[in-house]
Amino acid sequence: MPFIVRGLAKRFYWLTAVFPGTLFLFFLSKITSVTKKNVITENSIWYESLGVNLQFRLDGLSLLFCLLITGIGTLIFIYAHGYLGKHSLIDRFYTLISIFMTAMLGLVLADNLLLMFVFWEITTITSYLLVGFNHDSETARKSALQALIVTGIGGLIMLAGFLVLGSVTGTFTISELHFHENFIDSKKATVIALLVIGGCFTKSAQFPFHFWLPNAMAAPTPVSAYLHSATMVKAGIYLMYRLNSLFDGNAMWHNSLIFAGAITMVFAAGSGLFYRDLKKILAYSTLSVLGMLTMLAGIGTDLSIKAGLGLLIAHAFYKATLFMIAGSIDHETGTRDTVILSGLRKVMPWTFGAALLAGLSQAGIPPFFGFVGKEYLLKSNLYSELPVVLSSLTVLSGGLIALLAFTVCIHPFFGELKKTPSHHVHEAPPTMLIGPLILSVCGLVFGLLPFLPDTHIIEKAAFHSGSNYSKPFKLWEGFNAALLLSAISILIAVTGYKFRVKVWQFADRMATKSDFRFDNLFSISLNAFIKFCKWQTKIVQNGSLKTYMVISITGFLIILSITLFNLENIPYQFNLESVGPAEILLFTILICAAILAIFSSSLMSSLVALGIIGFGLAVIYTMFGAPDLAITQIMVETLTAVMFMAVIYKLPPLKKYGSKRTTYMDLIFSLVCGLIVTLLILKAQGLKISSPVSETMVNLSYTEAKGKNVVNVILVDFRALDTLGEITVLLTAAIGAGILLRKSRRKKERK
Amino acid sequence: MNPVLLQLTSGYLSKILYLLAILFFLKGHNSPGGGFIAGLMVTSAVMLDMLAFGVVKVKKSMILAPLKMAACGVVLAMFASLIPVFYGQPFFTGVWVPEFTVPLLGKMHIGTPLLFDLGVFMTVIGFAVSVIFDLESTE
Repeated sequence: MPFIVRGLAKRFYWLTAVFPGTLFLFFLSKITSVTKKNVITENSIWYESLGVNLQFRLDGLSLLFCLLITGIGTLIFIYAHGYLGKHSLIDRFYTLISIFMTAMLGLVLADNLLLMFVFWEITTITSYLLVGFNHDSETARKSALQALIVTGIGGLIMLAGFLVLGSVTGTFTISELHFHENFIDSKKATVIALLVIGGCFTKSAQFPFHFWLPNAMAAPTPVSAYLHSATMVKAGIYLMYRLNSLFDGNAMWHNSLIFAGAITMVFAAGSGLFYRDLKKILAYSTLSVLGMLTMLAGIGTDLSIKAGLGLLIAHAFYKATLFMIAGSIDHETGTRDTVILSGLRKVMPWTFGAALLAGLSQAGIPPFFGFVGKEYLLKSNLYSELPVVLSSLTVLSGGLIALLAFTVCIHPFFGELKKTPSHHVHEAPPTMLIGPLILSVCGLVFGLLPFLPDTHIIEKAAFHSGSNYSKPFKLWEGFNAALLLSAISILIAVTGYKFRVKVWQFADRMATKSDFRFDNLFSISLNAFIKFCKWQTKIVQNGSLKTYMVISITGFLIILSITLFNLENIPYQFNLESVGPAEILLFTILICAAILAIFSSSLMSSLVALGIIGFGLAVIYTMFGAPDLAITQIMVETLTAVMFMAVIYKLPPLKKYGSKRTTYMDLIFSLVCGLIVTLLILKAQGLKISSPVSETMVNLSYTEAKGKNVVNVILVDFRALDTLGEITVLLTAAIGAGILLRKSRRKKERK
Repeated sequence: MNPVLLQLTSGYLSKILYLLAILFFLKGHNSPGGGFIAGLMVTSAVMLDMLAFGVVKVKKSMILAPLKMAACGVVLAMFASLIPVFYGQPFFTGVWVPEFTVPLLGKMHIGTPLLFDLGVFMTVIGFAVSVIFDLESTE
């Protein structure tokens, strides 16, 4: 992709849209062949022993998402040409967003939980890179990190849920999960539901994890429009609808979805009032709609699932449009502040047209598709178990969302043209108009002809997420309670818009009074965590070689002592019968050398004494029939001695480190070490393991690996993977040593 | 200081060490030896030269920079372990060329473990020589 983009002349970046466009047409052509009963599957084995296979399944639900992803993707690709065309890193942008789109398609098509998790994480990572696209801005970097941490943690929680789910049902294939009966009655179902919800809520920014989404608005606008309204945040929603029939009937699942969804819906719609930034306002209204979708998944009736999918499409259409419009306004005027913007109607007529269509759809005014979505949302609330509470909350937040829509789509365009940071305000280029216009017109067409999306896609999608609601969507259902409620919410919005200046002033006063915010809480806990890490690093890794050795040897000792404790029943074996004069001589030499090494006052003689010990060990190896080890030992000893000589002049003279007390402590420590190891060796004599590994290795050595030297056969054949790891470590160590030593040399040169 | 004696002897000694290393490397599969030990031997030969002639001269005479050598070794070992994959066998299975006889040397077995061992050999030399060079040149 980067090469393609770089290869294209500046005027032709929009040609990259051929990639998502072709995919869109491909999925569009599948609309007739995917029906309620007919699904397209594609399987190939990847990692069978772990149950991770490349299983893909195109059914109604995934088709709906695929169409959204590729369709909106195409328009975003074109839009980005206008918006980011002059950016120096445009090739990186197209690369990342293509990777993201592919991962997103993989996520909705995957029929294997673990495969889906892989795609899920790829979207998290690409989202991190895209939010931080303007990497020279600190807020962008911070928001990106926040989004990454929140969704990353959620993803891991979800993985835990998937693993438990897999172990309970015995399969990771999503389409087979439903066949597992009695699952919902098992105790683990609740735990799994909670874990999976953790992933969904963080991804789809549900309360209390909602704070990352408004902050992620630091991303370039095409990213916000694509990831944070139309696709990525819908991944969590997708999973809820996908697993809806699995968790159907689990009280924890329903209650937490309804609860969190309702809170997010109202809270976000209210918070939106506090902001002047077009993109923040849109982000909060997105949050609110995500809350509605979650709530509908939680209600879980046939009607609510279908309503949710309808609302999802409507939202994707108008929200992507509004984001692109916000981007266009920002691009042309240089600001997104609603207080400054006004009167753009005359200079940006086409943008205004698209904005008006999308805004009215968001406000839920007939005959737009947003109205249909809202109508069914209210209806499913009325038929839920808590009709009064949910309906009134929905009406309130619906009104607030409509108010936010008016703020974005009407306020900047009417009134007098004010001065903006950019002097020559004019209409956005055609590439930045195509997307918003197509999407907003779609919103109108689908609203007028609701059966069009319904029969072709929503019905099938709803069927595959466990809903059997057979009545088709209608624009006009006659006078009923839902229509009345819808009218009330629009009334709220219109009144609010009339008094918008007062609402803003009130919101400003409120905002200064209370500065409790969730992202503050997040940063506080993050800072505390970093502090804790610093503290423990200071203790464990204080830069003194001695401390490191003491810590690692202590760990080793603890393990050894446990072994010693477990082997209580085995007697100590102690006989000196087989010890001959040669051994006695050798050991005397070794012990003398060791004592010399400790008490010698010069570094040089200590070194020589250590050398003696090393060579003595080599002699022992030869005596007990391990020539390979002996040779290696001799070579290593020689090399170490020479290496020591290279640096010995630079070392400080041997002096007493630390006080007498620490010296005694060290003495005790070493004695304990020696004692435990000796005891263990004495016990090991009496231990009989049925058949040691070495025997099988010796037997197999010649027949399987054609080598008589077992040591080497083990190194290069039986345990070759270990060796490969070890030589990689060697290489890394050499590079590390090189860097350290050369760095200090360069410092000296500078001085 | 100009250690004449050392220079004279190391001229022969290091060549003997190189030969010995090659011998150990080739014999490694059936009798003591192998890539690791041979690598250490070559390193000690290089070090002997270094002590006699100084770092600068030895560095100049190296065909391949030690770090590059270590990297090549790891890549070679990786490659050797990937060869069986092309034959449809699991990673790391030994693939052997049919046995053949070479005059003077006798029966020969050649297979991927030998290639792998060559990788180990190169990495060990690269690692040790690179570290020693770095230590020596900090003065």
